[in-house]
Amino acid sequence: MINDASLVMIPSGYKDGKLYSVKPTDGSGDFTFSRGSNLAATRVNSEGLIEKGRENLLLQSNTFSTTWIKSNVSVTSGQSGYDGSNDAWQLSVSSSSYYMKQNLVTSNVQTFSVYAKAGTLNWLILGMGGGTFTQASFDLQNGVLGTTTNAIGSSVESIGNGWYKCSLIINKTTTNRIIYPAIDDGDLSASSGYIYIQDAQTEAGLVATDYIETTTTTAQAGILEDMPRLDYSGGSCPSLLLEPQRSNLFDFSEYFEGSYWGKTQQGSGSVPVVTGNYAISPEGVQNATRVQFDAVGSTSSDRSGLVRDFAFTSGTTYSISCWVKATSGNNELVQFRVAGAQVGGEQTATDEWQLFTATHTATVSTTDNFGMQVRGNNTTNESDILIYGMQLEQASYPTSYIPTYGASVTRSEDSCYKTGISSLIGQTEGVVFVEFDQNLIGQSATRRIFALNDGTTSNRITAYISSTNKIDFYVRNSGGDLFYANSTSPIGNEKGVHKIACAYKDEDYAVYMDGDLIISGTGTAGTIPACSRFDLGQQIGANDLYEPINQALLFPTRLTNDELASLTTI
Amino acid sequence: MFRKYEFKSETEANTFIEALGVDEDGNPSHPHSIVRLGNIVLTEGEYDSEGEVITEPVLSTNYHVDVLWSGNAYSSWDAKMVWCPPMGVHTFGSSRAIAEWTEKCKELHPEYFPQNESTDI
Repeated sequence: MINDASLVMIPSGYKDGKLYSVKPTDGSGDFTFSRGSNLAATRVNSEGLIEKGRENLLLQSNTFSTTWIKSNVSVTSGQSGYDGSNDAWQLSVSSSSYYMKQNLVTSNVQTFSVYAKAGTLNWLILGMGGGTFTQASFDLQNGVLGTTTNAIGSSVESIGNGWYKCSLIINKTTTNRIIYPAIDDGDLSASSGYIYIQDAQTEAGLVATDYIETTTTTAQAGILEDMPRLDYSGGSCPSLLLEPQRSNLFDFSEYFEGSYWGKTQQGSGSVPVVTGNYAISPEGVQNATRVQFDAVGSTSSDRSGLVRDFAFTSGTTYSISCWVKATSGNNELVQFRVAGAQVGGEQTATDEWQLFTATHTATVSTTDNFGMQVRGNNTTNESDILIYGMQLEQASYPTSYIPTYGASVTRSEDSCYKTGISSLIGQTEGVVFVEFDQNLIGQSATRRIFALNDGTTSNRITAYISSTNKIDFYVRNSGGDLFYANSTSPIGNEKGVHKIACAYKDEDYAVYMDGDLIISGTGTAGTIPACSRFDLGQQIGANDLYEPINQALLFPTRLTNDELASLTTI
Repeated sequence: MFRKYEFKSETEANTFIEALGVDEDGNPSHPHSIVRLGNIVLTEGEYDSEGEVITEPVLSTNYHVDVLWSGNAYSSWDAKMVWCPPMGVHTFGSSRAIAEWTEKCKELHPEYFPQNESTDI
């Protein structure tokens, strides 16, 4: 039956701003996709890891002969690199008072990284100006850290063949990135000698990720601004994420050691011990934080918490989410606090990463805490867990992770549509099929599953989930309504996949969902509206469905009811 | 284009935001992203180890709104535009928007950007 479809979209191929359709194959059915957010957008990729939008903020990241400002040093290209290339550089000292730097103003949590290898000098120092000077020394002969000052931390990782990936992690406003060859730990008294360097990078976050080459502008990787997010949370078959605009209200979603996050105790409880970059996170890199809670006592007044205070008003709904795993492999317990209330019950962390969520509506107006806590009267009063990606949204359900490194961040809304395809849309009869994954229950807004239209709401064929959780099917042309009906029963409150097929033809309408006929009728005689645009999970940029889409098909003919039943059977 | 705005009240902010357009269902019909920051915290509060307030945070008396414009910022909003050291309390997760805002902020308010470009250890 799928061979009869004029357009087949099964989430698979994509690029920035484009979601490819499987059919037609000439590109005429490819969807336009927009979001305008890269650094705030994440997905679970095909490896099961959280993938972020990343950016190398340095210019000429491996062309040290330009843009980089040098004082009493010189660079020579064509050296053997860590990656088997000849792309490394020799950084040579010609006299004292030397440095090589690039001016770059950044703020908040950043990681500056460089690959380096010992030459005639055995130490590398990475530095950053702006306020109190920040620096870290790296022993390139033995692969160990020297002194680090005024920073969150530093790391050195052996890459092989004497090469090390050296990183300096900060949370402050800085004005430059500086590379020094050195004689010893913090010792810049050399007047000659050299080291090898390659691939410098500055990026947001607590860890140096895979290198991104830059030239005269910064460069991005991972999730790009208008890239469709094919999400593999549900397994090996991806869904197209279509999410609303959302903000993570927490300023720091991964850095919990700083003062932003309160480490609190009440009664006989102890403040939690927080250790950053302790373990591999769901992102697949070393940026998960260990938190050791100990309420000590046995009453609900004995508490150990990791929280942040916000002012909130009664009636406002919040959703909190965080990835959690037991540190030792033994099950551990933790509870969320939202608007000063203990919500969501005890959550059990295991030796697998899990996304814990809770939603709560404030019942008072005051300032109180949001975060995590263990109390004395929990099943156990101690908990040793790993956490990553704490998120707070002012909304009735949580969405995908929005990383923050020093300020609240907003991810804009996903939008997916195709214009100019009147040749693919049945103009006098046809079928629209959409498979979506229902996650949201009890939403009050009307949510479009799809809309065929001409760019206006005067001519449209649309199906939507109503505020009463029923399916509505609506066909109208510029002269008025041709057909409007809704299902007699709500679609149910269970999360899961739904397949819906909506057939239209003059005085012959039907909707099948999950194998069952839920709407049929003849409507009013009239001309089927001429449509040229296909909106997926919305209607001309509004009334969004906000559910993952698994596939969408257009048929230029009205299929039989038996075919519709077969097409939609789960 | 990302810009920050400050209004005398929420009511005034609503007037500007609603003028951007709403559809038949009362939903925004414009392509811009609006984030209502409200009365932002100017000075952080102080809390004891039990999380109890020692000193209340100081909130702005003005109502703050961040906008990610689809295209250029509306000139009718210019009188309400404000600038701050990067990136303030909120930003949009767009490399392009952040870079453009930062460049413009540096041009208009170099005092927000540290001049100390020390190379001293």
